[in-house]
Amino acid sequence: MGKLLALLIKWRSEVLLVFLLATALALTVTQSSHQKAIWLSSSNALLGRLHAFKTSSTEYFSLKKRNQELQNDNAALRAALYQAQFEKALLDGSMRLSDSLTPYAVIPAKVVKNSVLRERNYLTLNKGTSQGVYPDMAVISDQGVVGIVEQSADNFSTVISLLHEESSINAAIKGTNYFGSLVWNGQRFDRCQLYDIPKTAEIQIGDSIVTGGMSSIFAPGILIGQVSQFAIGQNSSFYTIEVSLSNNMANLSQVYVIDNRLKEERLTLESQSND
Amino acid sequence: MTDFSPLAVLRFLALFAVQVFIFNQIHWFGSVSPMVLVLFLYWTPIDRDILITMIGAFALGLITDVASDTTAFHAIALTVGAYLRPAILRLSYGSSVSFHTDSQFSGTLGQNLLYLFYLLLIHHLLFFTVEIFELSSAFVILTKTAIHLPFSFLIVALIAILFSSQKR
Repeated sequence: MGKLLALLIKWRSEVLLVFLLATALALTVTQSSHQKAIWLSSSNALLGRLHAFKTSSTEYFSLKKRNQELQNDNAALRAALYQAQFEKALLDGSMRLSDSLTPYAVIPAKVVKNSVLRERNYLTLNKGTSQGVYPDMAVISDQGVVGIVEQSADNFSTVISLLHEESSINAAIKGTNYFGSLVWNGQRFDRCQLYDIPKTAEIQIGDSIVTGGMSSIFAPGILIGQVSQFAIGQNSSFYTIEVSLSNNMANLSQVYVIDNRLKEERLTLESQSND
Repeated sequence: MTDFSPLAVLRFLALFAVQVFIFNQIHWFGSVSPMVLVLFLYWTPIDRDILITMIGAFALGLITDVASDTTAFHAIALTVGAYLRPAILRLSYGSSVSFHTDSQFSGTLGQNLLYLFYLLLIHHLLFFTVEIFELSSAFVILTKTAIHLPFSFLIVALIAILFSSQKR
């Protein structure tokens, strides 16, 4: 026993090194399998508040630009509203859709922390379960898709960015029914890659890429970006498409969390069919 | 050996805040954020007990990781840096550095910068190795280190020189 103790004392710095590294590696491994404890991320209350304070104290510098963006956003919404009212009046002036029949709810949120430089990038939003933000909800901005909520605390949530090596989103070429998976190769933060589009599809540089209808998280037809390059590998029947993102992922401020109210119903139905 | 002077605590907190709230927000050329945490090791007196240094480095790394969603990358890189610090000191200042028991020891500017460079090199190599976590991507790890290192070194050297009255 005494010898063991002496040995431990002699090698104390090595023992400490192994202990600390084992702790850190354990954290890293559990983290990447999405089992991470809620206190170990920027969505915990203290750090969330710190980030929120930092964001609120620096956002004044870009107020003018944000205003402009909000105005554009408003204008687009008004246009859509008028269009919808017009169509509704045209179809049936007396019919009113009840709230429960609207499949998507929209919760506005602000980005208090964002990263684009890592292999696995996350955002932190200033809305959490108290405001109705729960894991697996879609996050978009007025420019396009941002990511998917990973975890929610009371007043903050973390979002897996499109720029995350494990992110995979069902995407389609606008106007067609060809769909594939949108992933990120970890290189440029303004580019994602779209796989599994069959080579029978006719595509051109500049074609819009939108969310596909196969996803239970995103509404179909939300803009993701434009085709900037495409190729077919040898012996492959699928395209590899380079998508230039419509969002500037490094400069996000106002985003919207989308709650698909019919998601549970759809997933239950699908799992029943699989049984 | 256990003097947790107010200055040391202040440096610890300041490094955390500066890394998380300033340097993590900088994206030079779209992809480079300087990493300055190794200044903690640089400023730790050379006679400070290695165990204390390692625990301090681990703690600083971990809280920075939590705030930047980098899991434990900084914690690993800084802990190993703290463990290797005596060897890096000998490499930078010559073997006679082990005979100094004086906290106020300071080498020439060249030696100091060399010391900083070695600390940064080890930190960046480990940081990107743990981040990418695949040895088959060794080229990516080396490229990332080579791209980030000069910018981090520039910033860290500037800070070290500006605050040089605080002797290690």
